[in-house]
Amino acid sequence: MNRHVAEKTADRGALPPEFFDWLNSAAGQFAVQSAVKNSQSAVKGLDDERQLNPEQLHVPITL
Amino acid sequence: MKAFRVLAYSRDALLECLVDASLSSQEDLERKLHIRYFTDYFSALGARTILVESGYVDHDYLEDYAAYYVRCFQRYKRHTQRLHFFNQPFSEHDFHDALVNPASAFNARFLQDGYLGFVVVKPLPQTIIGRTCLITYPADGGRRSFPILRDYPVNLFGFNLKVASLAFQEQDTVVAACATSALWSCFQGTGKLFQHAIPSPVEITKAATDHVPESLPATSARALPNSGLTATQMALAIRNVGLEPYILSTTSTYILNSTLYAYLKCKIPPILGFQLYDLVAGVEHLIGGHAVALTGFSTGISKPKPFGPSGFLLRASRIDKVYAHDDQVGPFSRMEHAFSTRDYLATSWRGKGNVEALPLLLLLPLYHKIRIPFETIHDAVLILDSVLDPARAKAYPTLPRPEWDIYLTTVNEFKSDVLDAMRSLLGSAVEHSLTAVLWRVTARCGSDHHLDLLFDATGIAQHQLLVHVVKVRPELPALIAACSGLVKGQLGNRQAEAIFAWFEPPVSP
Repeated sequence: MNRHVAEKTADRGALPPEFFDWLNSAAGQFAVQSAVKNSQSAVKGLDDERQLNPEQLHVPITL
Repeated sequence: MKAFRVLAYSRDALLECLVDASLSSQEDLERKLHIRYFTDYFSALGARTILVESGYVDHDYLEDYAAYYVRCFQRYKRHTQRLHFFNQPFSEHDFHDALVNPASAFNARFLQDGYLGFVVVKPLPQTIIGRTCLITYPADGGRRSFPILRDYPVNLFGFNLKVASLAFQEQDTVVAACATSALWSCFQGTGKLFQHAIPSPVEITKAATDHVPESLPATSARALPNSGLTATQMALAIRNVGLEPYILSTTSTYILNSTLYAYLKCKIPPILGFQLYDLVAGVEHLIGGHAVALTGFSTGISKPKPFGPSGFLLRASRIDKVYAHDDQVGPFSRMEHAFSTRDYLATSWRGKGNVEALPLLLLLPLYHKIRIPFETIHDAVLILDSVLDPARAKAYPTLPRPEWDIYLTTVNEFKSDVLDAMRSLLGSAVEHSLTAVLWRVTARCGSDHHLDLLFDATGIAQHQLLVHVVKVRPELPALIAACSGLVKGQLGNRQAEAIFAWFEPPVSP
């Protein structure tokens, strides 16, 4: 086992066992899946807001 | 004419120097925003003395002079005057004594300790503020940040001085409009950072106007005299110095703050394009389009502002003000977020009512190897944080939600930072071979540093960009590892998937 994998194995041990019960439950999975959907919608909104429209490119900057 | 003269600083003395060195009258100058701005600025810096250097040859003015003013029928001077400012009182006799007496207590060190910088005054009518390098406002305990500063060497009659600044100058409305001045200031920073030649204003205008603007007749098709540029023309000027223009819409304060912060931290000054409106009795009057070079920011909001449905906390959301080289106002001029129903910035511009700057776009001049834009990393971290949040609340209810700090950095800056500030935490990170330019993502819970993620900024977006992870505390890595199996293949974001994959526990044999 290389050093990187050993660190990965150690990470999991830091969490309490009840947490994994919750994470594997329907409530836990629903919470995580909802978070994924919310974040995807936030990313889509940001992506739309970052897009320049042609008028912005052609605004004369003259002051 | 004497080579130098020394005056006690006052508003009147400053005005006298400007009138004497230019073709402007005091009445003309009193109408300029610059005078009000410089008066306030020098007052804040504690200016006590002005040393006027006569017959100064300024490279940028000389280029403009050779390209335009020399061919005018009117005879304009080709030499400028340079005004040096000090926060210590001294007389002409003191300075003369220092020049002839090597044992004088009034020496280079004394001058350097009190040096506030210089303003070149061009011998022109109306638009007279040439290359200006002044120190910044103090950091105020880290609230104000000006990452783009560089040292400008100053030779003052043999005394070698320096000033940490980014050069500013006013447009002359002939060879340069505001967009050119903003680009010129921006290139002062990128020229040093990316090792490209820094063009003079007239060279920038000529490069930009190779392309006839789309919006005739609002913008004149003439290169010189120049009445302004469009974003497309500004992008051409950036290409001309060998950099790649990166442009995005910044009508949202969140996008503006997060992006300018991410690039300014790497000493890249973004150009902000905006429209100025004069709001009189509730009616908007468009003043026009304007561009400034962004030079700093103030993180004056004590807590990050939650963003989106998940309440993502980004360090850049603490920004309440940005500082800009606004050629119509002055260097490091303040633009304050209104945080009202409209996303606008309050500026020092004066109108009949309240003048509001509505951001339009951000234009970034990037070295061609910086291929991965901020949003690629930001969006991946937003998804990561969103997934972790319910898990964190369940597993570690007392652990504060992480605040994410996302910015571009160089490998040298990163390793120096590790050694300077976090040697005990991240010492091993300096031993890793890393790419020259990195996106650094730091997670802090409360005041505790938890995690650093380093992404290759030169890579391919379709491939994994995460190249190094520094785990300072175990909680967040444990949460990422625990959630990795649940979200695998479902995130719709290549880099977010790569972060979870990095932490994914090995499959048991």
